[in-house]
Parts: sequence; structure tokens; C-alpha cells
Amino acid sequence: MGEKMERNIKEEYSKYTYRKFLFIVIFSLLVVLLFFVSLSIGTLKLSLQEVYQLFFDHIMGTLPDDPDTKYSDNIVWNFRVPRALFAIVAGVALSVGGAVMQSVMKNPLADPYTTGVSSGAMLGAAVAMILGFSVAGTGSFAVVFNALLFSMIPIGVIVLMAPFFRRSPATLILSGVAVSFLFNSLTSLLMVSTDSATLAVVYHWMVGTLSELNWDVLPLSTAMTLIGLVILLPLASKLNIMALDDKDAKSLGVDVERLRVLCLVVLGGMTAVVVSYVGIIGFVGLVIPHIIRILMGSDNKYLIPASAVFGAFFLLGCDIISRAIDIGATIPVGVITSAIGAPIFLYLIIRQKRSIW
Amino acid sequence: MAKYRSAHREEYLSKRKMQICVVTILLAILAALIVYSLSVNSFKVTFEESIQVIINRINGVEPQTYIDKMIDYVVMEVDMPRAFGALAIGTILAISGAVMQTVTHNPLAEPYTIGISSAALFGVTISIALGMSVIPGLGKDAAIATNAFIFALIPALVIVLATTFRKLTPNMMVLIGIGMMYVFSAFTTLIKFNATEESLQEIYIWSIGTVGKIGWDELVPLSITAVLVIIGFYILSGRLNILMSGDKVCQSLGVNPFKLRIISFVLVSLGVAVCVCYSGTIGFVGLVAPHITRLFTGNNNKLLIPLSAISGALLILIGDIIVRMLPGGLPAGVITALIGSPLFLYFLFRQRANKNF
Repeated sequence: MGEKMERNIKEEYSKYTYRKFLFIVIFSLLVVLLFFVSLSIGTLKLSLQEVYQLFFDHIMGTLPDDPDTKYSDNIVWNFRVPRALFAIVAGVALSVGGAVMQSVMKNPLADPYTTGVSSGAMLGAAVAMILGFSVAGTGSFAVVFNALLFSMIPIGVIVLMAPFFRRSPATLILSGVAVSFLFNSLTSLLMVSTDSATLAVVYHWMVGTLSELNWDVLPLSTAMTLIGLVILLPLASKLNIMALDDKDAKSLGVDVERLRVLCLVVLGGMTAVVVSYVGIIGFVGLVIPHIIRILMGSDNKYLIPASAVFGAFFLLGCDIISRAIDIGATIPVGVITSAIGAPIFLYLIIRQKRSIW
Repeated sequence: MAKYRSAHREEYLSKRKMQICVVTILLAILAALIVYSLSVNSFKVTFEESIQVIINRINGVEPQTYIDKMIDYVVMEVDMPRAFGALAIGTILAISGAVMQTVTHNPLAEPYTIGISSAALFGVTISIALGMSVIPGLGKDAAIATNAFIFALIPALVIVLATTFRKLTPNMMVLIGIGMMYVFSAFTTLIKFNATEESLQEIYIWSIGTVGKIGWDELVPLSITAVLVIIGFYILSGRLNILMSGDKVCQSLGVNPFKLRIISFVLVSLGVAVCVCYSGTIGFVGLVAPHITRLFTGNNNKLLIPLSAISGALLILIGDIIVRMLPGGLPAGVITALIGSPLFLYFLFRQRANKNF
């Protein structure tokens, strides 16, 4: 009798993990597929097979001879590949950041930008664009560098103040909110005082688009995202324990305060790099983790990898759609993400049976 | 026993006395600031002159010279409605914020959490950029205001409709709000991305919010709404206190949490919709004024709601006074956040034992 029950439970558990595992595998494969689809889309139309051939030829080092192939090789390798890779990296960084942030703060309204990273980056970019002041560098690099530097300030504030806010995550969030309000108001001050042409430039930066990316943006962002994943994934089971009360978590041997600050710094760094390069892509960080939570529950062991894969899939897919729709002006990817994702999200909330929070 | 009771009673009474004292002092400061704000403007009206204008009005003395008439106009027609407008808007936003935080059990909630601001901004954007109006045949400013008002009510309507299908938990309501926020902001971004630079600037300035456009005509609906919101939520405050102890406890104490939540949402939406249509989306106050108040009063809504109203009014009024002292016509929302967020950080820092959330 007892043995039978044990077997049943085991079976149930393996079924439970199997489905989640399957989800992650299927969506990773879909990301690879979308990657090649994304390489084939644009003004220069190429078939999937051609793109595949070009991509692997380039990796193997067999460079094309005839000018036609050389031209398409140039376009695919120097423009489309970095863009697609960055979409994947950004999708992973933002949705993992959101998932961890929500778990750590125990708050469904938290997203990776709740730390104030985005408002810091925005202020840095606005200072560079409007005042023409930058800490280092020239041209577009100056904007990126400024954004990166300023986005580190809120993280620094959180680290410095954390020892004083040991009691509750709410206070930590609110200090992030206060810092973002401060930075946002400084940004607004700059934006109100500038002329409408500069305002438009800054505004377009804020919306977040994936166009005009090249290979230079990849090393730092990929490295940060990988480091973040390496640190955060093993912490998943501790994050699960943190869903309990702080006291209960402590009695189970989790140093809640330190873990919280560690997670904030790591995910802050991940998102800061992404934001500095492409501006503020909303929606992904907040909603993708929620969608995963609705589909497969709040177990961080599966939530984090599934959010990563699904976030990459979603952002890449949205980028493809934004490029495929041609209405004269390019639609920023942030618009597509919300326009497609928000209705799905609303539907899932209304349909949802279990309570996820 | 009787001795203990009287000791508790004494403690309660002394606390009560203290609270009444604080409220009176804050109200006195508010009144003083309103009077002071009458003399702050770009026309260099002195404090004595502005007082004289009021005394003359009370005594029925008509202004004689051209300069007197001008001073009378500036004080009575520009500065006074503006000061009372700041008062009304600060009150409505701060109370709405406090109620939203209580009702959703979330410290990050604010009046705009259920998507009111982005819905209103969408209405304003289609009015400014595309020239569309819900009610045709209005002047430009009136069209913007009515669009903002009507669209601001949509999120509440959707939530009310959704609750007729099933009982929503507070987190689900907030998530539905977020979903709607993204739907609206996606379309707003799309329109803004293709809008002219001038209309972009106009929309941006609207989105920051200002109390500078309020005259006596606008003040009538604003103050009626403010009074309704104050009375409504003061009546509900006892029940809101019960709601804080969780839905189950609330039900067993004879208060229907779902109904209370819906009533609160609807009242908040109405109040905020009126605010938004006359002043744009002023941020910060709705989130931070209740939190600053909470640090001193704790979570008792009977105290929190009226005191938040006063602190919200103070914040906006001080912000507006500073804006008028500075050249350049900056929006009040920016200055409020600029001085308010360091203040908020300081209070958070000072308060070590967080019991409030």
C-alpha cells in the first residue's frame, strides 16, 4: 500500500517535471529556428536555406567568392546576426531579471526596472544627448557609456542602504522607487527645457529599438547575462524558500537579506547593460515571468530557465514581426511586444484557475 | 481592571489629542502656504498687495487704477484657482494612492496602477496627434480633456465587467490593470513614434502634468470630486481597516471584500479621471504621499486617509510654489518629485523598524 502510494507520487512528480522540461526544450529549439528566420527577413530577401548555408560557411571560414554572395554574407553576418543574438540576450536578461525580482521582492508588480536601473540609464542618456556631456567617449558610444554609468548609481544606492533596511523587502523596493523618481524628475527637467527636435531623439531612445546594432554590443551584454545566469540559476531553490516568511526562511538556513541584495545587484547589472544599449524595452521583464507563472507555477527551478527561453523566443519573434511589417517607418519592438503580449496576458489571467501569488 | 482600562483610555486620549494637534498644525501650514502662494508669480505682486486684494474683495472695494486691476486679476483669477486646484488634486491623488495600496495589499500600488494614466494618455495622444475626439465638435483643449476623462474610466469598467464573470483576487485585478496599461501604451507609442515633433512635445508635457491650467471653471468639478472622495473614503475607512486583515477575516467580520474593492476601484478611477483631465498625469504624489504619511501614522486608514490628503496637498502646493519662483514654466510634477524623493529616502532611512508592509 505504502509502496504503491510512493510510486504514484514519484510518477506524478516525474510527470510534473517532465512537462516543464519539455516546455523548456521545445522553446529552446524554437529560439534556434526563429534565429534563422530572423536572419532571412529584411529588405534583402533570402530563403532559410540560403541563410543557413551562409551562416555555417562563415563559421567554418569558407568565405564566398562571387560578389553577390559576398554582399548577402556581409548583410547577414554584420547586421542580422548581431541583431538576432542581441534580441536573444536581451530577452533572456530582462525576463530572468523580472522573474527573480518578483520572487525576491514577493511582489507581482516588480520588474527588472524596479531597482531604478532604467531611470538611471535614461538620465545618463538624456544628459549625453541634451547637454552633450559624457563621462567618456564620443558619438553613440558616449550615450551608451553615460547610460551604463548612471544606471549603476541606483544599484550602488541599494547596496549602500541595504544594511539599514534589514526588516522588509518593501522598504528596499521603495528606496529603489524613490531613486527612480528622483532620476526621472531630473530627466523630465532636461526634456522639458530642450527643443522639440532633441526631445524626439531622446524619446526614440527611450522607447527601445533593436535596430542599428552591430557586433560591438554583444561581448559585454552576453558576458553579463551569462554571469547573471550562472549566479542566479543555482540560487533557485533558495529563492523558493524565500517565498516563505523571512523568519521561516531564516530558520531553514537562508540568509534572506544577503541573498536579496545579491540578486538585486546581479539582475541590476544584467538589465543595466541591456538598457544602455537599446533603451527601455518594457513589457518583457514584467509580463513574461507572469505568463510562465500562470502556465507552470512559481517553482523558481523551472520558472527562471523557462522565463529565459520564453523571453528570448518572445523578443526575437516580436523583432521579426516588427521588421516584417513595413509601414514606412519601423515600428519599435517595444510596441510589438505589448501589442501582441498584452492581450495574451489578459486572456491568461482571466482564464487562470490556480492562484499564483 | 478599571484602573487598567482608565490607563488605556488615558493613553488613547493623549494620543488622540496629539493627532488632533498635528492635523491642526498641518492644516495651518497648508492655509499659510495657500495665502503665500498668491504672491508668487511672474508679475512681481508682493505679499502685502495680494493680501490687500483679498481684503478689498471681502469689503467690496473695486480696484481703481489699471495696476490695481491687473494685480486683482492675477491674484484672484490666476493664482487663487491654481492654489486650490493644487489642493484638490493633491488630496484626490494621495487618498487614491493610500486606498489602492490598502486594497491591493501592495506597497507599489498607486492611483494609476490599474492603467488609468496610460488609458488617459492614449486618449490625449489620439486627440493631439490624430485630431480624433470621442465627442466631436469640441475645441482643442476641451477635446483633450474629455478624451482623457473618458479613456481614464475604461480600465475600471473592464475590471468591473471582469468581476461579473468571476471573483478576482487583488493581484489579478492589478495584473489585469497592467495588461491594459500595456495595450494602451503600445498604441500610444506607435502613434507617438510617427507623430510630428511638435505634437510629441505637447503630449510629453501633458504626460508630466501641471496645475497651471486650472481656472475657476475647472475648479468646480475638481473640488466637488475632492469632497466626494474625502467623504466616501472616510466613511469606508473602517471597512478598509478590516480589509487589511485579509479576505477571510474580512468576510467573517461581515464585510464583503470583493464589493469593497470594486467600490474603491470605481471611486478612485472617477476621482483620478477628473484630476487627469484637468492636470495631466501628475506622478509621484499618489505613490509617495501615502507612504510618507504611513511612516508616521501607521496603517490605520481612519488616520491615514485624511493625513495623506493633507500631505499630498502640501507636496503639490510646495512643488507648484517652487515652480512659480523659477523661470521657465516647469511643470509642478517634476519639482514635486525632485524635492519629494530625497525627502522620502530620508524618511525611509530614518525609520528602522518597518511594520507597515
